[in-house]
Amino acid sequence: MRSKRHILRSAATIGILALVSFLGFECHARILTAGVIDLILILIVAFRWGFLEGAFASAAAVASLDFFFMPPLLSFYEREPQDWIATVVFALIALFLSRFADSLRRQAADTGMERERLERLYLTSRDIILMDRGREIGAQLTRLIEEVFRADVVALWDAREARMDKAGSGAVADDEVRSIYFNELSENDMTSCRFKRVLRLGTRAVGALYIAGPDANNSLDSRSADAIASLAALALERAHSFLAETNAEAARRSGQLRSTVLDGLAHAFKTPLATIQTASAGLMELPAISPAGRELVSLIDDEVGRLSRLTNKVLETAELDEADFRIDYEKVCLDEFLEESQQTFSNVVDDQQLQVSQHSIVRYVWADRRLLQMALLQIIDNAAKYSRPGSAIVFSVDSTDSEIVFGVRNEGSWIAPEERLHIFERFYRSPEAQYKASGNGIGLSVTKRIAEAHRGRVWVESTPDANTAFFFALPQIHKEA
Amino acid sequence: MDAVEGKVLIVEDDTALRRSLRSTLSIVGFDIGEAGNGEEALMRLRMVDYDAVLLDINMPGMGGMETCSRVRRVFTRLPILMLTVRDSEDDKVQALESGADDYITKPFQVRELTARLRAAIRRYHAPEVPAETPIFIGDITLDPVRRQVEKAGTRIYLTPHEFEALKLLMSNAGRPVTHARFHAILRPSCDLPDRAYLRVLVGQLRKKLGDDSNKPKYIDTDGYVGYRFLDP
Repeated sequence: MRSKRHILRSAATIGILALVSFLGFECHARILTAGVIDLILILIVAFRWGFLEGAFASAAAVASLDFFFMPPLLSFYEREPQDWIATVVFALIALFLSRFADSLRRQAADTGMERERLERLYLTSRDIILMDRGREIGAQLTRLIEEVFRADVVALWDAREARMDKAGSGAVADDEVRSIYFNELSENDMTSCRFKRVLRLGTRAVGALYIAGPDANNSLDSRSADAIASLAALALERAHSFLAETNAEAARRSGQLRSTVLDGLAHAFKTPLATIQTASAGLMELPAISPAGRELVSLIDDEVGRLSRLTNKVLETAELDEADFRIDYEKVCLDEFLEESQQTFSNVVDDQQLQVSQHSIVRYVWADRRLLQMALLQIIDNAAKYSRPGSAIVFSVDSTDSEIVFGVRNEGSWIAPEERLHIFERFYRSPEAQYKASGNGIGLSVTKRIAEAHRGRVWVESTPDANTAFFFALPQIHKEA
Repeated sequence: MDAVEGKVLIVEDDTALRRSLRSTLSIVGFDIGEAGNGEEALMRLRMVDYDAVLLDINMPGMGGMETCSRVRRVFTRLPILMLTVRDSEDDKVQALESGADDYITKPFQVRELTARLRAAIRRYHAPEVPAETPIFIGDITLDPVRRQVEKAGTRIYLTPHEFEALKLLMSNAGRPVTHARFHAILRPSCDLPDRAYLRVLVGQLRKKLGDDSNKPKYIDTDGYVGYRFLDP
């Protein structure tokens, strides 16, 4: 096919040049004029069709010039050596010109192709940004690549979702695409125009892309395939993080809604609680109340008190969940803070003894004093509730390179690993603890919320021989403002 | 219990709480008047001489704050106790700023309420003393003219700021003194009340008076609002 076209073109070239020279001869043109016209023709032929045709044109030009214009005329024979030299020089110039024109042609073609590739990549990246994030990303992505690069088949394997998407008229086995991911392949098969790419983000493989293009004049090359692969990886990651973000946002909103509801309820409770409290206090003051009546009234009083405390606690946590919740940062001197808080802490510890040990070499912490005390009080209260009566609760302060760590260690109450994450959730109570200790499942969630608000963290360590330690860490900030 | 403790006007829109307060406070010995809203309260105050007003902060119509400042405009010395719901500083500080003498947060212990009412009524009926008279509370004596403080006869040496703070607290004994009021006296040139400075100052005062912040005998911390000199 190709060679046939070459032969046809070469024959046409020879014909044209012979014809032009013949016409020049008939018109009695000078050899210089004929030579220049021939050179121009060679240039055009080589630029349009390539070097091979240019070379044939050069040969034809040399031959016809010799035949028509060099003495003896109408013969290929040359007498003078300078004619020989002129012929050779002309031939060289003609060949050089064909070569030059040919390379120009190639460069132009390459530039055109490159531009087209870039355009397509640009289109792809633009469309990826414009993709509808609410819909399946894989299906959109494959269809997009298939349309822009006019591929026969495009397959995309999303490893995290374990999902395969295909587009195009061709077919490919799912296993083949998956094997790209599992073997982390990155291959080009230029003859059949197939590209396999494992999709990576950094060093992590997130999926696989398979593109089989149309055979000839394919606009897809290895570099384009690389670029598409990175774009696809990015698009997948973006879709995943969007999903995660949406979920987190939904969780945050539902949390906020919950605290709004709780806040409203708690406020609505306060007036009735005050009413009951006042009424029971009034009953108690009545002169004629019987011992049994007194007993009953004090029961009402105790329970109302309990409800009130619970209500206040709910309100306290709701405050922490409010959107405009702000931290009143101040420079808290640790020693002073501990001295000040010790009594408060000891008050919640009934049956145990509280030992305080201060090892922190850092003297100050940047925090909201009130919240810090609230958070620590919660963990100590928690430790007091769940530890063995009579045992010691050790409250320690340590500093690491980056954090100030408050720890509360107690004996008793092992916390299973699967529970350690949940215990900081609001209203979560360990199934066993439900019957063992009084509590409402609010305290530790408060601690966690306070730690988060300070960009700190909370965690728990627990060993089966029943030593449990809660830690509350705040970042060390040296800057004062 | 038979002796009348004083005439108290209860201003509360919630009927149940109003009734319960009325019954209980009458049992304890107060003479009770009732009003369901601010307008009614103002009317009753014009007709009857009360010794104290117990005023709910959240009411339809005029509202607690507005009622409070209107009452205060006419009756400059009448004790006003606000019933607040929110355990946040804004409401309380606002209540104190609009003229209330004290506040109590729902739900409350009746014992605390009656104690506050009694203290307020006692202050109300106490003869007005000139500002320069020495103040005796418990074993502490403060002499504003000689700028001397004594505890059980022993002289306590205070810095000028400590003295001013103690004077402010003692002349308002039993009532909360807001951070802003301290600030106005101690550091009028600064814009914002400096809580940390105040805490250090009060800490020093407590140390010199031999007080314990966890079980205060003299100076109590009033959550988010300010400080209060305890009136035994």
